[in-house]
Amino acid sequence: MKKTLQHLTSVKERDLAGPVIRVEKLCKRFGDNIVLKDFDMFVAKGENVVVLGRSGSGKSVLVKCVIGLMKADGGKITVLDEDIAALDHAQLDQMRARVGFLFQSNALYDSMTVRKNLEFPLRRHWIESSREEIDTMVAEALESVGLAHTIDTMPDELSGGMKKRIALARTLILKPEIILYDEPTTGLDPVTGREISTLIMDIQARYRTSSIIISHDMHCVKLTSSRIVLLADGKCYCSGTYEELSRSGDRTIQQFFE
Amino acid sequence: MVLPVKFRQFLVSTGDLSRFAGRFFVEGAKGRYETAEWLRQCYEIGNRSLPLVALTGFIMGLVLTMQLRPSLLDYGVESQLPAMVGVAIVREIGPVITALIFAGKIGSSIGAELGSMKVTEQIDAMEVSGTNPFRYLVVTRVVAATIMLPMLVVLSDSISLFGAYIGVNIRSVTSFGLFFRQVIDSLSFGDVVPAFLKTFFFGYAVGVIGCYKGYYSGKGTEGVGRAANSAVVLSSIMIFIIDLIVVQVTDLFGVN
Repeated sequence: MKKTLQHLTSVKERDLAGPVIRVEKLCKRFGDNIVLKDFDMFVAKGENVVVLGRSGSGKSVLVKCVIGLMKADGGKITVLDEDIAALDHAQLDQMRARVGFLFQSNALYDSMTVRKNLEFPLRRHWIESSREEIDTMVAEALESVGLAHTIDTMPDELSGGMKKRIALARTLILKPEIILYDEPTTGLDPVTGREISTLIMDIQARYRTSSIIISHDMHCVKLTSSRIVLLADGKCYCSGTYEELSRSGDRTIQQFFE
Repeated sequence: MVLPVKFRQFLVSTGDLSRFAGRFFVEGAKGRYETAEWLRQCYEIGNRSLPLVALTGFIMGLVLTMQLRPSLLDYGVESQLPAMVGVAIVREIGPVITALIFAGKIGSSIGAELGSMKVTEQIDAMEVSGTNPFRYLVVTRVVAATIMLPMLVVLSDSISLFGAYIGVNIRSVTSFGLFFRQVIDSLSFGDVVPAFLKTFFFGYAVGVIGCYKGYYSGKGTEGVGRAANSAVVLSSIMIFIIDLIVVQVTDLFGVN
């Protein structure tokens, strides 16, 4: 069994006050395929934690467990001091209003205009707002991603990068405390990918969010990460800053930085 | 005893589909109705099927009349043509053919729509947005299909009878009033009510199967295509099974 390299990190949980996400001994399997096995990680307030790992290593499964879209087979996930497994549907919805999720495929509702896409979470979470307030929130969210002019277009009229920004605007509209990004730059050209990475940093600075970012894109990882968690064989292989990990001589770590 | 794999798979999918059909009632009975989405689905489902149902209804009535005339002529009962056509359309051909067209048009589109929403994570996005996707997507579509199909059948039957009237007048001359008086006189309670009621079951079956196939479709475009295709096939088979059961039940109660 590979030795985990937890010692690499300079950031220890005990050094940080009140992590907003804590994952303890998380286990998830699909049939005989064990995807996550005693996986541990935490995200401190204001941190951008990048989860790095090979394709199929369970990174997306991890964030889906964190938001409650998938049920863990074992372990404990605490988000904003709430144990995810102990929440009923209504409580889970309340928690989700405080946690945004940017899907890998954007998941924009293709039967709705951009405006309706952005209004959807506001209406579903029963946010008490007047028509004018909703219009202002939608306009603000679109301006924050630089796409105010697309408000009445349909998603299929937009480019890949624009769709990603609109999906990000939809995530931002509820002003979440935590954002989970599932491969935010996948499928985008390097220039657009860099723009999205910069946008993630802008959002963190403006809204003081904490994030888990799933990514393979090392430019994105370098730009956005406060800390990196390397997921290998279903476990947290190591954790550290970009500089710490890039200097490591460990073969498993190095293959991501080559 | 070890059951063959295919038979076991059949039993498992039948169980899953039954649970899904039952969940519709559980979720539908809970509060917070998605009225706006339901109305949108009623419009979409009804409006999208309307031209096809009208066209096939008209052709069905016309062709049926033209095909029946020679046989009735042989027996010297040509005057019974409106009555025979009327009973055939209202009791069986109208509901079943309309339901089959509905399954092809709406069952496949629901399967493909929900399948692609699943593949592109839109269903997950709804859940994250505080929405129960089953109530928002499935309950609204199933209720809309259950209500719209009987309406379409009534419309299709009417257009079919009009087609039959044209068919009768190709070779002979019958007034509009006389034709419809003969049709209505030949229809009884047992012809109209069970035939109308079974269309609600047809609509429910098409809605549930389309949603089930889409909601649990496989990954990728192939999965979406397979969901749409199997929704049509299974719905069509289910329509015939329901028809068979309804005929047996009405026969049992002497309504036939």
